Amino acid sequence: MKVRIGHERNTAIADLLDRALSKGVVLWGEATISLAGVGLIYVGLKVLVASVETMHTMRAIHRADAPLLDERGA
Amino acid sequence: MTMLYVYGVVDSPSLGGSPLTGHDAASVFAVPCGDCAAAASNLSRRTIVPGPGSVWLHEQVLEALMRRHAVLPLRFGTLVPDAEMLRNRLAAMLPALGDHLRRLRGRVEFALRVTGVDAECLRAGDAAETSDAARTLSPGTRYLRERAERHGHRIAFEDAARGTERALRQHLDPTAESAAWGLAAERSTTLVASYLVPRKDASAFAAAVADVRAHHPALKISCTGPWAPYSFVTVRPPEA
Repeated sequence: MKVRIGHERNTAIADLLDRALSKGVVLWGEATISLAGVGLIYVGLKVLVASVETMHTMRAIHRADAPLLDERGA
Repeated sequence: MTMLYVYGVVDSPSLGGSPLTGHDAASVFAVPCGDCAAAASNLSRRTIVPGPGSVWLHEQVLEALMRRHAVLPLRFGTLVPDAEMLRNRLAAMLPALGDHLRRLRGRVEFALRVTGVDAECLRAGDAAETSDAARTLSPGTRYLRERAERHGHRIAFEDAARGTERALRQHLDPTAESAAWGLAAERSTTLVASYLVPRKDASAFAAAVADVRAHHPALKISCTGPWAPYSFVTVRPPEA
């Protein structure tokens, strides 16, 4: 069972996304991580979920896609 | 084209236990390499959407594996064309993977977010920007002055943040094996921390968090977990 000590409803998923998308074992380096529809994370949660560094990486991967939301998660 | 989606690496050539279900309801299976194995499932596409559901599923597979083995979580979205390529890459990284598996066996990660450190600093900054005296200055002078004031407030915040971190760590660190603190992002006013805790001590760590919340009512402290120990895995590919 997950421990959750806080008030933000989305804190748990934000903490998980922050880890699963930017940490953990990397087998082939950033460029081979195949992500699609990255913007959906920020639209769906309406909270700041990932580190700025992670978002910059995602922007680089999906430079040709529709613009992502900014760091405020607005 | 079918790809392999890889969830993590376990300290056994087989996964054991009851069958696990991964992305697209596909079965999770072992790709053995030496004394370890990668946990993977087939994916009939070349990309995967990193939405809350798919990332939760990634984590749930890892947690099920953690009940059976020591597990190293892979970063979400790791796709490999075939088992041979995966096996070759694991073989090249096997010594480092083995070291991490031994170090992280029975350990879980907790995530902390701390806000409220900045309240006084931000109030001071707002006052400076709206003062009547500042309005009488030339635009250039006002700009430089405000910039210097913002810099000063930032330094004050960072001092306060370091003090808060020290105070909280006095309570939390004794119940954990390792910790990493920092800001949520550059210029952020949210402190974040990752704690590596033996699973048997998870309740003691949660109690320590409750204790620091009681001692620091002005701070808003959230704690989530236990997670797979993503933040304490530093294995990188050989060319990185």
